[in-house]
Amino acid sequence: MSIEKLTVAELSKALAERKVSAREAAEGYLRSIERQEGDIGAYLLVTAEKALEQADDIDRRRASGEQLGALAGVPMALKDNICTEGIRTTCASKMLENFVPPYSATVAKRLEQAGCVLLGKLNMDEFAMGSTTENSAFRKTHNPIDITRTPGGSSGGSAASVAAREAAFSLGTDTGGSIRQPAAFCGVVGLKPTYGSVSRSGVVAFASSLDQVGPLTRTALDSAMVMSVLSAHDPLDSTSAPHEYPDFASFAKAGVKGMKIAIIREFFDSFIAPENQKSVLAAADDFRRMGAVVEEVSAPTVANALPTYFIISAAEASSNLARFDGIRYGHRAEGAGSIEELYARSRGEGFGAEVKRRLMLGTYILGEGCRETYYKQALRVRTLIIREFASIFEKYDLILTPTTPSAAHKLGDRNTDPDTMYLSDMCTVAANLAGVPALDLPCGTNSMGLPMGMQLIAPAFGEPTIYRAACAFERERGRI
Amino acid sequence: MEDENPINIQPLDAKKIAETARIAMDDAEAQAIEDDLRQRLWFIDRIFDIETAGVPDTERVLPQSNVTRADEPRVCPDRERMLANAADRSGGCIRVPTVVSEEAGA
Repeated sequence: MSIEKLTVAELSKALAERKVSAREAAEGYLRSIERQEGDIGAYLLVTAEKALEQADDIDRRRASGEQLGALAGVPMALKDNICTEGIRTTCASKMLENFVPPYSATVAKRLEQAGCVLLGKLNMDEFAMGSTTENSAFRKTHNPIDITRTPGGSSGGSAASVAAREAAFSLGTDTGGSIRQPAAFCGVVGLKPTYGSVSRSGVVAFASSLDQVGPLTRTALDSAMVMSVLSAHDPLDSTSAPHEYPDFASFAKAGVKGMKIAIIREFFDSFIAPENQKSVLAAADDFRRMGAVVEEVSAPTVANALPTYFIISAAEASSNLARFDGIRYGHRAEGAGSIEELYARSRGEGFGAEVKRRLMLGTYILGEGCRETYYKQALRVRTLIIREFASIFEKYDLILTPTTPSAAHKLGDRNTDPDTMYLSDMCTVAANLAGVPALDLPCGTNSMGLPMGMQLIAPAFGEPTIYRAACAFERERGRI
Repeated sequence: MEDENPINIQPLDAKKIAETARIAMDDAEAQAIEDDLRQRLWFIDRIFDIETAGVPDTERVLPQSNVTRADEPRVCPDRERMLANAADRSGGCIRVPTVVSEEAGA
């Protein structure tokens, strides 16, 4: 049996039935990493020794008769902005090249307590700012479907590792589409959960009112299984939502009969590649065949949310990243004569080009005069976006859109044209601004054989509805 | 109409912004960033096409009040481990260059 070909659900069953040991699973994935990393480059650090230790511990505990959770022994990897105690966490930045966190993020601890085996830390755009993973200070990650293309970003390593079978699942973070866009480019499933449902404690902040941690998996059922472990109120995160989280996997077979799904008309315009439009409309027909009602609606503010996202994310980033000053941790410039010089030179040397541009945009926007115009206008448009979603969700259970305007582009293609690069987030940013959950699900391949993704958006805490639809769709398409 | 362009409210001067953001850079880098920021602001300015009179702000999506923990003693993170990432240390402290210059102190 080729272990790395199994889904999380299949591997979980094989482990529980002792057809596979946790060590065999870890070794299988480590071999897969060794075989492919030269071409893919998903990892910044492989923690092979620790992985085998963890796997042996799970095997011992299972042999002693201990009742273990569904994810015990499943090998996974984390985006490198998720702190791991004693294991380097760099955010793909020279600023944190040698940073070893003194504590783990809550999500890392929850997965460890569930018995997951950590394979390593994954590449990303520096501080999660970018859509191609080319902004990493350390290496390029290649799309496993076509290695001349980008895996997307910023969670490009997270998506590539799952697509290449170098991890059974991974975690990414999503501030404006950074889980869903790479998931769509690599043909995997990526969830941006409801804001507040997954702890951000120990996750390096980009834009705190938008950031969420979520799983990247090969199937929707796998995603539901991981979310059942991740979702919980965390007193260490003041934005964590107190909520009764269900077993998400229990909704996998509920189907979509009677469900009402809205399609946003404005996302089917000339900027979206015709093949991507067609694949989503074909998915809509599948949902109709399965008993759902699918209707068109208009949501102009949701569809034009990008400027609002740019303003709010840059403003919050300029404040959050002020902590990187070369004093307590991170890169420190040599030979500075004063504290002011030390701050400025450490930040000038430690941050890459895109991070500097966004921090300076945020600084400008929050400056005298601009705060009252740009920032305040963005906060008001954010209210309108939330209202527009609320009005749709009065009549519909879900919204269906394309995840990205096109399939993965060639590496190097768009880095010279930031506007085109930003537009790759045009379908995803509104969900972050409104705090609602959104899932990318593969819905076909284009004429070049590249994956295309569709996005399912639900009201806050509507993940069960998303999983009902996503699992039904996968069954209909024979993906599982 | 030109006067209503919000870009004109604060002149875009990358050297000055870099100073406020505490990011050291040379003139060439500052000029490149200034050109890039102009492009980004050109894209962002379409936000002013949206009518928002009377619309309240949303800073965060969850209703929140101050979150406080119980006022009880807890074990703090280990000092040595918290200091381990500092670039320059002296005993249990982090060493930094001069904070108050002679001119400022005079």
